[in-house]
Amino acid sequence: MDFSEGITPEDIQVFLEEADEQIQLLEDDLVKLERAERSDELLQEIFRAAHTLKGSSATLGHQKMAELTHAMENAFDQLRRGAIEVTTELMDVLLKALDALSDMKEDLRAGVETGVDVDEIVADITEAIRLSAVAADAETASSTPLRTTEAGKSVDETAQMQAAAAQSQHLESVRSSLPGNALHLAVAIDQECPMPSVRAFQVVDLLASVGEIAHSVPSLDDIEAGNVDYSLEAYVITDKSASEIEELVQQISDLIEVRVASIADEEAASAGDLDEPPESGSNEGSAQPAPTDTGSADSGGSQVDGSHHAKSRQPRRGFASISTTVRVDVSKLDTLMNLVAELVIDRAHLAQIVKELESRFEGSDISEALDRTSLNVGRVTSELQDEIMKIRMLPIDNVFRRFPRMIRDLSQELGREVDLVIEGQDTELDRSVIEEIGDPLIHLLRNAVGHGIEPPEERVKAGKPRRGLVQLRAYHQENTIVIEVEDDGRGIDVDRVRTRAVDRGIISADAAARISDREAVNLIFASGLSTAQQVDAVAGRGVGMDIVRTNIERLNGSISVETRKGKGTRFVVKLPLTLAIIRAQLVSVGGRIYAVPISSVQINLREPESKITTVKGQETYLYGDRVLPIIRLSEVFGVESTPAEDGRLLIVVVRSSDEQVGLVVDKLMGQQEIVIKNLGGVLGDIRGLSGVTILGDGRLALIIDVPSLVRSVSTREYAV
Amino acid sequence: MPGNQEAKQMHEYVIFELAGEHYAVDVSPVEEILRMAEITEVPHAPSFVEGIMNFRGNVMPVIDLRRRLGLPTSEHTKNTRIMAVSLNSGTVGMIVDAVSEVAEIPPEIVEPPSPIILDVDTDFLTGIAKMGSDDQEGKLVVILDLVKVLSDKSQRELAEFSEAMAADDV
Repeated sequence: MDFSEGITPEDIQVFLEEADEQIQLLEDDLVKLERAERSDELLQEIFRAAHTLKGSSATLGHQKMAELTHAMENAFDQLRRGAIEVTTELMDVLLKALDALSDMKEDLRAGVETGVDVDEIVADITEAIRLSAVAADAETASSTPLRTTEAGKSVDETAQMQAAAAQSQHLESVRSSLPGNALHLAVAIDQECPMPSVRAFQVVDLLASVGEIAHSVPSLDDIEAGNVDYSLEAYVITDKSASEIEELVQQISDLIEVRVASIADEEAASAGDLDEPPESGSNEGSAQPAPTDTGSADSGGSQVDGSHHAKSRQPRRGFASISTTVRVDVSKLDTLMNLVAELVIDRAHLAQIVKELESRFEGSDISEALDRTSLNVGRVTSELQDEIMKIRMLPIDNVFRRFPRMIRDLSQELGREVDLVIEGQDTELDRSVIEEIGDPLIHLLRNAVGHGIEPPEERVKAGKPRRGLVQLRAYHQENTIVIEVEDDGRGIDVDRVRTRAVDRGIISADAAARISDREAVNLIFASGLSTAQQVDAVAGRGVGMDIVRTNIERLNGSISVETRKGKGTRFVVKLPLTLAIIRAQLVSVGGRIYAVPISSVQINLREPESKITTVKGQETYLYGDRVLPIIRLSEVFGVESTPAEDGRLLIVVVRSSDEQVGLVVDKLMGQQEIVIKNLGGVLGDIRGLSGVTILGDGRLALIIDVPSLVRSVSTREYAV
Repeated sequence: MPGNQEAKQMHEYVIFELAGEHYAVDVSPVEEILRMAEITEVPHAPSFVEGIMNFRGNVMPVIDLRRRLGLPTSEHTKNTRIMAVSLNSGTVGMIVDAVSEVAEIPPEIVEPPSPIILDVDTDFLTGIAKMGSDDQEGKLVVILDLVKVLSDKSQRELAEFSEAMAADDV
């Protein structure tokens, strides 16, 4: 693919990151817009996002993306001016265009030539604009050229004037915080220049290459977005002299006036001042619209570098907060987390050493000093661990934000009318969990719309509001995060679940009759049970609730369901805040220590050998009214068991999905928090083990993979 | 500090012993040479994997290089060492009988491997060097390609291993 001259791979990376954000923002906002949350600010935000995307794709030289965003921008422009109105058709086309943008973006990321047919989509947009024209205004709308026009200005103008006022106020405080050798630069651009923003961009680009831009008016954001008037002011921290900078900047064409002076010099000559600052808001007129016709942005944009973008994360929402955030590569955080985990291990080790030394040198000064230091190291380590855990936390909005669009598309597809209400999207959890939780939630939401919410007529007949309500809620509860998916649909038919479970041989007819409704409804998580409706395309891909449960349990979480016939269904998912550290029951088998995640441990039993009976080649134990398959870990791991002296067996009862299994171990070694580590590349996956952890004394403990052990028993059982 | 450019250009090698023979590996990926330490056995791991150990707070798999190269196994002695080697897949420990020195092996004295004189699989070898000064008896040093030692065949065995596991499940 051909890019503008001087575009580096880093530029593309920066572009992609920004495109990710803008596209997501557009998607969020479009769905909001359709849900009649129309407001001037929203429309303005949408327009700006499209405009920014257009500008950056043109700068990059991505013709197709620029063309498409240009067409979208046009539609948004007409929307905000009220020339056209929000219709389902228009939204469909725009969302499709957004998908196409996203596809092109991913193709760019993958480094392949994109196959997206932009012309077709652009034609669709044009057509949709024509059809969505506000009746009275139809003529104006259809004849509007593909440009931001006069009518759009008033809104922009106000916004810009406010921004300008804020900027000049801010300028003073920026100035006072700068060192005396910082340079103040003022540039006037020729009024005849067709692309003032490109020139302004060249100037800041140049400045960024020789120093650091402390502040500029217009802001870097605005310059990039093309919101540039015919003047530019900037403060730069650089080791070049004022005259050197002036000389460099002079080389950029279309600049009528360039003035550079150090702050100290200006201060000295403070009486006869500059006739700046420019009145950014007053005369932007024709300058305001985007300068970039597709591809014309030759802009020497080789250094649309990270620093600009890093600062442009929070566009226009308060300049004061600009530099308080930093982007950090995830792998760095992972490394940091590993290092802290090492400290945690050392801390435990240190505590042991201290104890030993104390017993030897009791009461001596040096021993007490060591004790104090060790305590302090321990405290600092804990805090460090907490803080790093917090850094790794992301708001669950990262998962939730794609759902409004999904629900919208799905309800349209299925002829449902559904409102999705999201609560607690700011709730934070570790990014490792965020990465894993998306799919199970998608499944639950699809179920809610597909099976929960009734078609509108049916709802009206049942005396319910026409529009169904799906609620997605997240909150913290102790050390877990709780996510609820609730719908006000028809609920789960518990008797039907019973019948089916009996049909499929999951439980006996007796048991089905005996268990409570609450227990019965939880049978939907049993493997092999899918009610008739669940086989359709909505629940999709043949994935049943059993998979949802398995996936959640793999994260050491749990899921439960409550339902009321005719009223609705609520799924409650509980997850740990992080996957990196879990609480585990340590056990000893054949002299080695193993860790069993506490989330799967039900109870520990001590029973005589004689109570174990062999059924179909499988050792079992009658626990309550349940037949518990017994797994001797010593056999699984091929080690010698050293049984307890009283001849009783120590059984740790664990659960995965709905099945319980008893693990026979030699000794219980207490519970503790453990840091999960991979077994390492050479070993790969090993059945029965999910990882390893380092204990306080430096020894390793293998972590037992409960789900796989439980599965190994159940498959054996069914195979017979 | 091993691992830098300079060392590589110097053609420096770690020379160690296995079953009475001298072997050498490029010094640059060798992070540390450790005394024998507690190794935790991993059930169901491939046979050449001795286990895992705690190396600088990380979990490092340890392989028995004798077994890996198809040599007869032996008891560990006080000379037994673990070479921690950093490869693409992470750091791996390799048990060797003893580590004698770090020495330069100029490329001129390295000859292509000849399968006749060797017990080990020639796939793993880069060449053979005849070392030693005039007053000393020359010794033959087998130069190993660590990446190969840990890739091709290991991968195959690991694959077979997982298949066996899968079959076991049925």
